[in-house]
Parts: sequence; structure tokens; C-alpha cells
Amino acid sequence: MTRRRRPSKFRSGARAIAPVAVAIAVAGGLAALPRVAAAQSCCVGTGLLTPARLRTFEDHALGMQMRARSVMGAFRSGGGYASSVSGNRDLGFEESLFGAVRFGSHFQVGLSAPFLQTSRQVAGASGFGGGLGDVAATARFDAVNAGEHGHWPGVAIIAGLSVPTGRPPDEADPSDPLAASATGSGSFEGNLGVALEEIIGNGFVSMASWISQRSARAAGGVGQSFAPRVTALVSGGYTFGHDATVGAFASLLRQGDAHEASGAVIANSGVALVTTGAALALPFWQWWRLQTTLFTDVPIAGWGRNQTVGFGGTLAFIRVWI
Amino acid sequence: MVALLATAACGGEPVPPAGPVSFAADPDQMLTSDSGALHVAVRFSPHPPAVGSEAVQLSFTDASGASVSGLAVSVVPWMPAHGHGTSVDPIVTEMAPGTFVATSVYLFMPGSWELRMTTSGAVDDTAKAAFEIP
Repeated sequence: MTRRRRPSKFRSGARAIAPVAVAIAVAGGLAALPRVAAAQSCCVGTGLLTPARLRTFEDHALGMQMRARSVMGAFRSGGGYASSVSGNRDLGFEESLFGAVRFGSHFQVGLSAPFLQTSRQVAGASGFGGGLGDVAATARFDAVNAGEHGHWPGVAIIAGLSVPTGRPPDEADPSDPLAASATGSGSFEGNLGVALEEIIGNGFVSMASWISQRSARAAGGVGQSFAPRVTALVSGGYTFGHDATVGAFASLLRQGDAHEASGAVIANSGVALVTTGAALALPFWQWWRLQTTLFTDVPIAGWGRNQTVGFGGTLAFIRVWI
Repeated sequence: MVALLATAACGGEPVPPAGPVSFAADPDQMLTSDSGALHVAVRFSPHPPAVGSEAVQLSFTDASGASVSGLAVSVVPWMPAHGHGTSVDPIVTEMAPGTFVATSVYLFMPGSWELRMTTSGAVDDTAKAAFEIP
């Protein structure tokens, strides 16, 4: 049995959900421990980056993941951190429906449809709204399964594509001045990366890195393109008796400055963020997985740029078929 | 759950600032337009800018420091790091020759913002004020 993993999709924009996506994905993965895994670390990491990641012997899976995140501050363009103004509120919720299907022993694909809600309150205004977010497809090819060749780590190629089925902030209802009904980035986004996994007794360590590219977009007469974004993720976990699993992760993302439609660099528009978290996995019944996590972006000056900083949690339920 | 999954939007209607908007005497920023033909004094209210509804005064002068009349001005709030604008188009009103006030500038989240200005009429030009809000 081997662990498998796919990249999570990242979106930028008002919701700045990239770090949350990582947290959700990791939570899902760490929790993906069905009863048949029976405390074997080789299976604990299954779906490390997405709950829908299938294990070697699984044919397909369906599930739903819920997430909540509260913004507590933001990084300035120069890396300084500022806490949110007292009395302001920015809460994000998400329910993602997802599925995954295996084709052969080394290849699997997944599809997720997120539904998002945002609640904002600032001085003199408040808003709540939501809807369908950006639908994403993912693929994973396990070139080498972890544990297949002695102590050599598993190696996989991971890829994903999201489509702008959500509503970007500048297309939100004008009666919603806080753009709480925004649910998407307004761009296509593709990503491609490599994942390594190593099993050490009942524990595991995973490292993955991928590069993402968001398509250019224009709104209100303003157009711009985006620099590639690089994301790195390190995670590890340990499986106890009765299939209970605990794990932790840290992710780092970096994106360079954006460009005007003319090609000129937009100074100080780069993005950076570090997110950490911990997860607990508890399988239930024969073919169900329950997974939960707590995560937080790291609010240390210099550790981020141009991103909101938040904390939150996830809870996912997954049904798998063999 | 059905209610949660369904598209929903119940944001409050845009509310104009209560009472007259006042601006500080000293500008928050002094800009030069992209062509160099215009100088722009930018003043925010509230000052410094904060999350929520903002009013922005834009005073256009030429190289000699004289106010430029005959301008038409439009503004777009924009977050370049995230690549999006706002759901509400600001309302720009000319208060005096060369002096405009943009209201309903909804800066709905903290971070780095730009106010992209386009002038037409007497001078066709563009300018950009960059600022950050906690």
C-alpha cells in the first residue's frame, strides 16, 4: 500500500484562500485513514494534500469538506504585519463536494466544486453572501510508489487546473459593497509539481513543491498578468493504534510581482505566506473517513506579503469504494 | 446545508458618507501622471485610509501649479496582488475646476490597494495612487 497525493488548488483575490486550501488539503490527507489501514503508516498519508486522494486499492471516492477561516490581520507589501481593526469581521466558510477516480495503478483524477460564503463587517457596513466557487480538476501520476523500492521515497507528478466558475469581487452584486458574495478569482489557474514521500516505521514524511500560473485578467478597464507562484509543503504524521493519526504541516508560498497589461512590473505586488497546522484523523465504519484540522497563517513580520492572515479549521467526510 | 450551498448575497446597500466629507489640508500623496502632464494631490477621508467606505479628493494641476479645468475623471480601486477591483463603481464629482471627489470607494479588505485614475477631456492621461490599509 502506498500513499498518494495531489496538489491543492490555490486562488488569490479577495478571499486570499491559498493558505487555507493547503490547510484543508493537508487535513484531509492526514485524516484519510480507513479501518483497513490498521495503523500502517504507509496508508496514513493517503490523500495528504486532498481528502479525495485515492489509495492504491481504492477505485473511487466521494466526499464533502467544510472549512471556516477568520481573518486576524494582513501582511503589507513590505512584509510588515498589522492586526485587523477592532470591530471588523471577515469570516469565510466553504463546503466542497469532491470526487476521485482511479485509472490503473498509477494514475488518478479528481474534481471538486466548492461553495463559499463570506461574512464581513466594517465600520458602517456589513455583508454576507456566497455561491459556487472555482471548480478544480486534479491529476496525480505515481511514478514510484512509496515503499516499493526499499528505502527510496515515493515520487509522483501532480497537476491541477481550476476554472473561473466563481464570481470575482469586481463582479459581485453592486448592492454588496463589501464583496461578500465574491467566490472566485476570475482566472484560470494551472499547477504542476512533484511530490516525495518517505515511510519511517509508523510515521511518514512528505515533501511537495509545485508551481502555479494564473491567467491574466481585466476588469473595470484595468488589466494585469501574474507571476508564477511557487508553493512548498512539508508534512509528517504518526499512526497510533485503532487507526488514529496525528500530523503536522507547514507550507510556504511565494509569488513575484504582477505585471501591467503593458508589461510593466507592478511594484510591491508580490505575495508570500507561511501556514502551519495540525490534524487528527479518525476513521469510522468500514469505508468512511472523518478528518479535522486546525491551522493558522504565521503572523510574523517578514514571513508574508500582501496576504490576509487567518486561522481556522476543517472537517471532512469521505466515502471510498474498492 | 441547502441554504448554505445556495447562492446568497445579502450585503447592505452602499451607504454614502453621513454628512459632508472633509479632507486634510496637506495631501496624503503627490503624484505625477504617466505622461507627466498632470500633478495630482490625493487626500483620503477617513485619513489614513481604512477598511470600509472611503472618499478620495483628487486635485489636478499642471506644471505651473494651476488647476486644470475641463477634465473628466474616472477611478478604479484595484488590488494588484490579487488582481481584482471592487463591486461598486466609485462616484466621481467635480467640486471645483480640477478638483474631484470620489465617493463609494469601498476598500473591503485590508492590504495593498491602488486607485487608478483616468482623465479625459482637456488631458488624456492616467495616474495611480498606491496605498495600504490595515
